[in-house]
Amino acid sequence: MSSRLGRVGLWLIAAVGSVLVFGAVAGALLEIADQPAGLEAMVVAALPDSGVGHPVTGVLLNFRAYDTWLEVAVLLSAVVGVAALRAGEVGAPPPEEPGPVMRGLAEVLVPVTVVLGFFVLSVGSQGPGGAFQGGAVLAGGLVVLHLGGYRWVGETRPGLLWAGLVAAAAAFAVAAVAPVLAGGELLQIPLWRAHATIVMVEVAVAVSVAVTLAFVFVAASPHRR
Amino acid sequence: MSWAAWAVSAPLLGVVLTLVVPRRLLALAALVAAAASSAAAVGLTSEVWGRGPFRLHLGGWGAPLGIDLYVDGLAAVMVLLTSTTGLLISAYAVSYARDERWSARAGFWPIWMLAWASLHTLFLSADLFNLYIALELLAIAAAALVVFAGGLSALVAGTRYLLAAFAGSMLFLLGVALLYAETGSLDLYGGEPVTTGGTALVLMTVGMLLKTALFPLHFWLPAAHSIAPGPASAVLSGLVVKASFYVVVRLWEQALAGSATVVGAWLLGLLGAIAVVWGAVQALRQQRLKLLIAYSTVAQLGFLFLLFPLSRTSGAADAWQGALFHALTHAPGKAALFLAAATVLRSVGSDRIEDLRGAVSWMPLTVLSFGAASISLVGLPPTGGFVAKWHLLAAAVDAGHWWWGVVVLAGGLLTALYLGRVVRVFFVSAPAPSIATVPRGLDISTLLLAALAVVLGLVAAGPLTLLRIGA
Amino acid sequence: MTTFELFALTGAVLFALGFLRLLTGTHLLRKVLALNVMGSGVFLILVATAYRDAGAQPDPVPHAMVLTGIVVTVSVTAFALALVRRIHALSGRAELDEPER
Repeated sequence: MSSRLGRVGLWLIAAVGSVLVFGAVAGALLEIADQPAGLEAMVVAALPDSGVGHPVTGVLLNFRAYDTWLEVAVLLSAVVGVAALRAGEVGAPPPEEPGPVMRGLAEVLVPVTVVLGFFVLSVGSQGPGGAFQGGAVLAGGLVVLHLGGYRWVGETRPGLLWAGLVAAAAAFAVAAVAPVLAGGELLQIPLWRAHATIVMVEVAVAVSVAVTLAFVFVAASPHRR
Repeated sequence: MSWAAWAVSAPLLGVVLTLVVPRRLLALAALVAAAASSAAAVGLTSEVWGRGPFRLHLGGWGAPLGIDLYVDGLAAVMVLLTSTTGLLISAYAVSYARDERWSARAGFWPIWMLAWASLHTLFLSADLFNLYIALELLAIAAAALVVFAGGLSALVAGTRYLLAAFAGSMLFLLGVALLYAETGSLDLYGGEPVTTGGTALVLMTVGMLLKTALFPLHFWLPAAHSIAPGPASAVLSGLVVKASFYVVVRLWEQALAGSATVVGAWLLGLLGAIAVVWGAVQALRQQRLKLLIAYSTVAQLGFLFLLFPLSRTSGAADAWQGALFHALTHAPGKAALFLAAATVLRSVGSDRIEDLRGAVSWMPLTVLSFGAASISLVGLPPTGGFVAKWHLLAAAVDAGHWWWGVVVLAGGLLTALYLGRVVRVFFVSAPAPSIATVPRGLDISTLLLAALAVVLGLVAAGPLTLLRIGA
Repeated sequence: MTTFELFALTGAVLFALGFLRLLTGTHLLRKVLALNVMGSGVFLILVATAYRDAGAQPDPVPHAMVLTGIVVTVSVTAFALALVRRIHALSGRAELDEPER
């Protein structure tokens, strides 16, 4: 009986809290609705110096590259955390017998996602797209591959898998520290090599994102202990 | 070239290093990374000492387009604290580690390096969204520290912690979104947002209180910090909970100071006062050493929040120094307590306090470390803890708010009660149980940490001056 | 109601609903999903913030923040789900008991 009362009390407090949060946030947002303030002017003005043609890519991989470096570290932390739950083991046995539908789907979808993923990755410098988006598509392809009963090389050779997982962090470390050793600022990307640097980092990030997401999915699959 | 760049890079490089070196070089690689991060921290401290507070424009762009690092006395002190305590905890972990879980490719070392990287970033970053990412990185790494050694109870404690930390990050991010929507800038020390400042401050503070485990949002801490293995507990109680407190300080005292209300500040102080008493009362009831130390963390964190009501009075300068110096000495002291407990646990096989009777005869150095760290946590002269409490008392008296002074004194007394009970048990004469030998290295690093907590009181002038730079 | 107001308020509603379910849900999966809904709410507010001046160039910084935020949230969620899975595998339940206060 008292736990019933406790549940009702909890619901009441939670409901009141949610309404308060909504009220405060909505009120603040409505008040500032007609005062636009943003950084678009600054980004557009600085974009020619960034080495890419698309403003979002410029923000992600040049102006605010430190955020992206930390984000890569976050991905890595998820991998390390999940791997730690399995005592560091990263190999995977093949999944249980997939049906013909899953197998057929894999055979059709995986080549498409590979092409699509690399396309999204490469179009990022001039249009919407880029490393994370392309990496996510590739990760989807790897997951479908696994579900279809196939194994890709990362599952049979753990060393290769770890190389893929660490690639982005290593690429960022190099891109960040090299300018410091040459006398510049951390993460400084001079215009003459900006495009090349950003492409290198983007490829590494796409690979790491794909491998990370696929690994985490497989590592937590039902048939695994 | 600034040391700040190395201070944030070295731990991140350490992460990559610990994930690529062969297994037998893992401990060495970790110690190299730890040493490099510590060197950068020392360099950073001397740089800010000579140069005063400064900003570093990452990528050469400058806020608000790019991300800046901001270094003042407080930032340098926190980075130096992280490195010094971290280096000693790492030395302990090298001797402590003995099985697969520690030397695995995804074991203690990369997780600890990730936490270290997030801490350095957090203390130096001047960008709101950057802080959010650092907070999430810290959350994952800290939860991983709780669960990596395995066991169902560790999983439960770690999951509860991760969900609480995740909730805290979401609240923080909402605040960031509101602030950006109004000001168009993510600079932490940028302009004062008028409309969204209050709401954002409340949201972000609640988020940070979840991560700092201030009463009543401390529910996850006792289990998580007591179940984690020794070095992990030391990192969690000594460093991780201080990071979110630091964010609250920056928000309330600098970034959103204009939106901070007196009522809110008093509420934080009141919760801190309750935490001091509640944590101590719970600690007195514990039968297991690590749980006792974990509840002690809940109590000691309460002292830190006395800063907020006092910083709006004439005692502000003393309050700033007292609270932050308390954070400074609590870290090595609490780490020493947890490491001593881990050593005892390994040698006796139990951490029930009754099973540790007479420990002084078979583990004298460990008991010495525990005792010295306890003296600092209680706040007896000439330790660092005494200096911190003295400044807080001076602030309370100066402001005429004597009740906060009562809280400080009561807290010290209660701490003496529960820690004294443990020390007394250590000195009871009892037949020695069967004990396993432990590596001598464990005692050395523990002793150094305890000594640090004590000696900080003698050399307090240095850190206190440092804290004043840019305040 | 302008575009900004519509999307921003929807984001606020999502956040509040997620918050409610986080506090009242007992099943761990429910809590993780609630946290993701809260995250989606914040992202929606950010995206709304990017385009307030109709006709002008949208602000790329909130878009970048949302991209980064999604990846970060996915990482935390992945770790959390792995933990929940493991708890379920070891104990047969996916709920946490009341913690000792």
